[in-house]
Order: sequence, then structure tokens, then C-alpha cells
Amino acid sequence: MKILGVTSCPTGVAHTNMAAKALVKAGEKLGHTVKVEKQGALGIQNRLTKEEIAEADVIIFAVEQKVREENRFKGKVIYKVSVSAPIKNGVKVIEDALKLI
Amino acid sequence: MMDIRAMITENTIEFDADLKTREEVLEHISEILVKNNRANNKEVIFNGFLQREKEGTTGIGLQLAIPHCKEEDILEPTIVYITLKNPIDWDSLDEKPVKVVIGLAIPKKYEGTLHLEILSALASNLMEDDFKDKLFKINNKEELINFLYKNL
Repeated sequence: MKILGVTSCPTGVAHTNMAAKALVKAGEKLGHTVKVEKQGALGIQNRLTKEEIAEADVIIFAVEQKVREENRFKGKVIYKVSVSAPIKNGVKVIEDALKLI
Repeated sequence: MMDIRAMITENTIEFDADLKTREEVLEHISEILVKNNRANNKEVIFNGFLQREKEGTTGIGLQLAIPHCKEEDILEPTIVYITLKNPIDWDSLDEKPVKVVIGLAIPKKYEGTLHLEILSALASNLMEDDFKDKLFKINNKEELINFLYKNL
């Protein structure tokens, strides 16, 4: 499965990065490659490309802020959770996201 | 050029602190910041930390909390590292008490982004069991700073 993620939090330093790492690690555990775009204090990092978005089966928004340039994801299957959710249990977030497909 | 040794010093590390509540820890971190001329106004900083907790706990589970605040009264980007004598309740994601608190103080306006990159790297690394286990075992200030310097 092609899974993407977007993370953000109020300060844009701590949870944004932890949630991104948690999603990637959970993906590895489940045998999926997950690419995560971080929308934090350093701007957009690890930006998802048009092609990646087009090919993605599901996109996980683990966000506490409005997603920047959200129109890029129009028409995609989106699973939205709090930024804490993947930190708490990344495997569950990915499993739940895959149920939407 | 800034490196992590400008952000965490022996004065911003405390082992076995005898603190009993989340509020006490946040107040203590605010005191350390002001005492070391890294922030101006203890009340503002303390409130900044409290406000962030209200938006969602920074107790991320596995005994760790990473309270943070971003205020104009913060003069220097700073990491305050505290281990607690007795684990305390932090409303953590895993509902377990907290033993290690890593406070991040972030100036609102600051030239350059290197400190943000270092703090971001620290946050990411804290999700790695290996990094976290090694970090938590250190009980010497110099060793702690060196470990962070080498691994971030």
C-alpha cells in the first residue's frame, strides 16, 4: 500500500516531528513505506510530490493546524487524527487508515 | 555557529529533582530559564508552558514529557533536562507517570533556524527506543551534553 502522512502541531517543533517518526516506524513494522510531510516551524519539510499524492492509496493527516496547501489532496482518501494519535499508537493509526480503502 | 552545547548547559540539567506535580516542574523549568538569563519573565514563561499543556498533554508516554513554550520573553533557545526523584502524573498518552522531563524553550523571533533543526532532531530521536534508553541511563551532566552533541 502507498501511504502518505502530513503532521503539524501548535508549536511545530516537537509533536510534528515525533508523529512523523512514529508513522514511518509503524509503517516499517507493518511492511508499508510511509512518507510523511512535516508542516512545522521550519516550514514544509519532506514535501509530498504531485506524483506521490496521485499514487497514494490513503493519506493520514495527524494535524492540529490547518493543512497547508490542502487543495493538493483534493479527491484523495484522507484519514484525519490528532497529532498525538500516532505517537500513542502508530500501528493502530495506519491499520485504521487502511480500513478506509 | 550554534550547536546544542549553546542550548543545554550544566545549569539547565538537574538529576533527581524533588518535585511533586506537573505545575511544580513547569514552574521549576521557568525558574531555571530566568536564573540563567535565558528568559525574561518567569510568570510569562510558566503560563506559556501551562497553556501548551492545556492544548494537549506533552506527556508522550514511556516515562517522558517534553513541555515546550514559544514566547518573546525567551531570549535563548534552551533545553532543560530534568529527571524526577519520584515519577509524577502528567496525564500522559500511555496514562503512566513521568520520570524524565525535557523542557524546550523557543524564542518567538530568532535569527536562523539551526536551533529549530536541533530541537526537531531531538524530538524525532526521542521516538527511537535505542536513543531514549541510552539517554535515560546517563546521570552525569557532562556526559549527557556530549551524548546529545554527538547524536543530534
